[in-house]
Amino acid sequence: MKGIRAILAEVFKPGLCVGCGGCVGLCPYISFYDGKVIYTDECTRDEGRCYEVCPRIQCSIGQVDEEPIGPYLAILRSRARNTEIRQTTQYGGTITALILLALKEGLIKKAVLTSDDSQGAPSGVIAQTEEEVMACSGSRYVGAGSLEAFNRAVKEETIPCGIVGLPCQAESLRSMQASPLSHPQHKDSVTIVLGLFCTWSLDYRSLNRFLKEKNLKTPIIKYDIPPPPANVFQVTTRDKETIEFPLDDIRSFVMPGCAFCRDMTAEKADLSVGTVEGMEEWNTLIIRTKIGQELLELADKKGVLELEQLPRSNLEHLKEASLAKRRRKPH
Amino acid sequence: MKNKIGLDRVGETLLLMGNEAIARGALEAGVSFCSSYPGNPSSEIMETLASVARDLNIYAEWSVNEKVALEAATAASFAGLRAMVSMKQNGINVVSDFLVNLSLSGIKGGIVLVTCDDPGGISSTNEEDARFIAQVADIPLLEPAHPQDALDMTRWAFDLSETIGSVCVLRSISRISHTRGSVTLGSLSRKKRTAHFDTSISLHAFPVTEKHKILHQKLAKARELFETSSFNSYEGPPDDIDLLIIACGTGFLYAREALELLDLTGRVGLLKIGTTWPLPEEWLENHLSRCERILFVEDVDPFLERNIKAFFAQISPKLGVRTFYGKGSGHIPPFGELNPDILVYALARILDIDYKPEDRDYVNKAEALVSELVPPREFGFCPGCPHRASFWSIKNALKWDDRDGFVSGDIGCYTMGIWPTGFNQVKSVHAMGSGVGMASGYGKLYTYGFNQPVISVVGDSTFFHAGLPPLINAIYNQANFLLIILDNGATAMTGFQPHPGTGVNAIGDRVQSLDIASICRALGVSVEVADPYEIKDTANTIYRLLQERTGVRVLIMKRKCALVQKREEGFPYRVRVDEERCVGDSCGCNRFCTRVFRCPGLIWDQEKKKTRIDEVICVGCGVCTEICPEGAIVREKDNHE
Repeated sequence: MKGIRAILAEVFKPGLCVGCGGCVGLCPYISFYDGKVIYTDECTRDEGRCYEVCPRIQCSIGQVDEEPIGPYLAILRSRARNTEIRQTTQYGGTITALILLALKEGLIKKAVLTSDDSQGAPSGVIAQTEEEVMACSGSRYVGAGSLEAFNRAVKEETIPCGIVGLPCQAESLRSMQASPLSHPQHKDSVTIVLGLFCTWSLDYRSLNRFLKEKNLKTPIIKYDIPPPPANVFQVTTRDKETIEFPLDDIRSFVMPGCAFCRDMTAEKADLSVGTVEGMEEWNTLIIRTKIGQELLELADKKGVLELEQLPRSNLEHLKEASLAKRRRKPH
Repeated sequence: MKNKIGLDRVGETLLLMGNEAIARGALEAGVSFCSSYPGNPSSEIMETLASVARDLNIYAEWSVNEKVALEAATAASFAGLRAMVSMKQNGINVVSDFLVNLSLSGIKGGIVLVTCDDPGGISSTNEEDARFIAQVADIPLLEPAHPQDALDMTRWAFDLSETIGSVCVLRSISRISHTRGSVTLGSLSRKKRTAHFDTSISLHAFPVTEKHKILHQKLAKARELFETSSFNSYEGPPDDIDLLIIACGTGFLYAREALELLDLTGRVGLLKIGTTWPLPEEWLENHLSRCERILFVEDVDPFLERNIKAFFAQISPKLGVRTFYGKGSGHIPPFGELNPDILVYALARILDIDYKPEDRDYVNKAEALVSELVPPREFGFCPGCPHRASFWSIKNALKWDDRDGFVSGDIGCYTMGIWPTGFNQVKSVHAMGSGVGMASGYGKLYTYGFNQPVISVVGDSTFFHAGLPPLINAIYNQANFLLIILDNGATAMTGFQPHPGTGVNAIGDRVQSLDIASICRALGVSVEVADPYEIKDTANTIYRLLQERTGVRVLIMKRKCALVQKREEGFPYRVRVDEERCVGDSCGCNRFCTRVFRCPGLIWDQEKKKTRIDEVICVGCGVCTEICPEGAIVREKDNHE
């Protein structure tokens, strides 16, 4: 087992941290500030939870080409039946609907989501009410350190949590659950992991500087890369103004650590959710675990989600895209 | 009379510190005007004079810096009064520009300029030998060897200064300024002087060459007086000596001690010289003829050594060959503070004496015993010091910023920011105000690819001393950096002397307080004020200011020096550690408070593996409660006081 010095050498110094936040909130040495994971003081321990949970170190995904989207029980397309959710959220609103259901049914007490802090930087949020959950909807495309919020929330006691995160965050949570160094309240609080598809994340500070240089001052409420052909980066301000930038303009802000990631579809999640090419109103939904399956059965029973077969061509396309990410070479 | 130093008791012997003796010497000489900027080891001179100023009806001021101190004192001199200016060695550099011109114009009332040098740099950024100024400015120099000398020389220096019409320099060092010795008092001057500037004359340096010529005539007069000075003396066998030691300052006492220790008093002569510039050449020539081997003993630079060697070059046709030992020959190191040991070894080497100090076993035992009683201690901020909290926030903000930013440091307690007590944040320290001047330069390097944020930290007293011109320079030249003024309401490092921002003057009168924020705002820059103790808010503020990437931004970190706070009002909290919550050195903390924050009020209990509070020294500022990741450090309102 190793500690912070190993992470420093292997992850922070080479610039491979993607800001999942898994190591943040466990100790005073690492913080998430203005969209970035920062190591502030020197810890001398030879082993630490930080090393154990880092998805840039503990990574077992993507070794089997026959499973390009990882193991799964079923794959569907889905969307929230509640049109209000669909209008507020991006695409089918599946994640929002599932989280609201899990909270309502008492499967979880708290939801770990991503929002913005008072300065507009991404940050983890602990949501308990419908209003709080709805406020977090939408994609951000930046490393949001939201696992910090989870680590803090369950510091003292076990609280059943539903955690929505990127593939790296799902990976980090599973490493944490497997580590002998982890505290029981952390392990036991991971109740449902909802993963988001991800090809890469942006460095928030670079993106923010870019947007400031473009004189975008009001807070951004929505980011999107609408497919196809997925070559435009779209931001929507609080004044409902939508501005588009060529994707190539922001590509240099992609975090270098994302280049090493082989997981597009959040293979360690209970349920993985993404878009469906050519169907803006729908989500792709991958059921991976029994926990995921039970939640989905409940959602079906309660009429929260519309569920349909994912067209074969979409599945093939998803597998191609996922394989493409696995084969991507770090630049 | 607040201080016995002002009592008119002729012939009474008191145990006085060297600096008190200097102050007494000035009073006996009838000094009217005293000015100074605090700096160790000189500060007690002014403090002593200020303590009797009201009773003895003399004027005493803490000036904004050393140059202004000499300028103000010169006004008194020009109006016919006697004046004294005291400072540490660094101050001599500050006064030098004025002084080299003043020596050409000449003076009226006597001026004694006291420099207290700090061999070993015990409380200085250097161990500069300030005696050079006597040669640069062509003015006489006196060097006392002990407190009695200090009193007698100071008193006489005023007469000398007035007689020749030049400033006279008196050079003390830490071991004289801070040594206590028996000092017999003389009488206080009864001479009444009235201040008036004679407008029939003008005092300036022109014509320069002519004034320079006159200055050398003044020096020649001083030399003449030095030839018979009682501050120079010889002790030892009248003839047939194996070695002649020429010593000044405490070097004279060390030499005496070493000679006794090696039982050499019958073989070696000891020449004490108190009038070290210009050299009393005839007197010296007589003594140089005693012996062919000469050892120089003086603190820091080979000032006497070089000057006497140069003088000897002129008289060597008459006296023949001499062998000189000292810093030039490598027998005495040209750095660090002198001590009797150094002399013992030098003498043993020169005279080929087989000297064995205490045996190694004994030394080892003694060292082991001492180290048990006196644990090693690093430089550190006091418990509750606002600077520790300030550097904590600076450190966090710079880390969060993640652009490899750094701190350009300055002179004061906060200089210790170069060490772990300030989380090693300060990356350079030089002279008063230089941190701001350097930041002004860094702030213009962006065209060369420089993209690191720079923070300049400067204390309140240093801000007034030499921080304003570089700040104005930076604003005028549109430099880009964050100036943090660490305002603790005192010249804390040197002993809480008041300054223009404190609203009190040297003798304790309430005066107008100059508001640093208003001064900066008047210069047209944005100014914010933060409380160092509010570490979270303050770190956020610093981070935000670092993101504003244009021009000078000023942040004033305002919080009274913890020592002053404790003395005046105390602190509101009693701090304790909840042992149940403290996780010690396990993952999640790893002794964050005792290993990283390092306030001396926090102790690591080796046995319990928990932190505890040292209740003897904890002042109760409560900042550490914000540091603990477990909330194990608890502060409670202290109702005990």
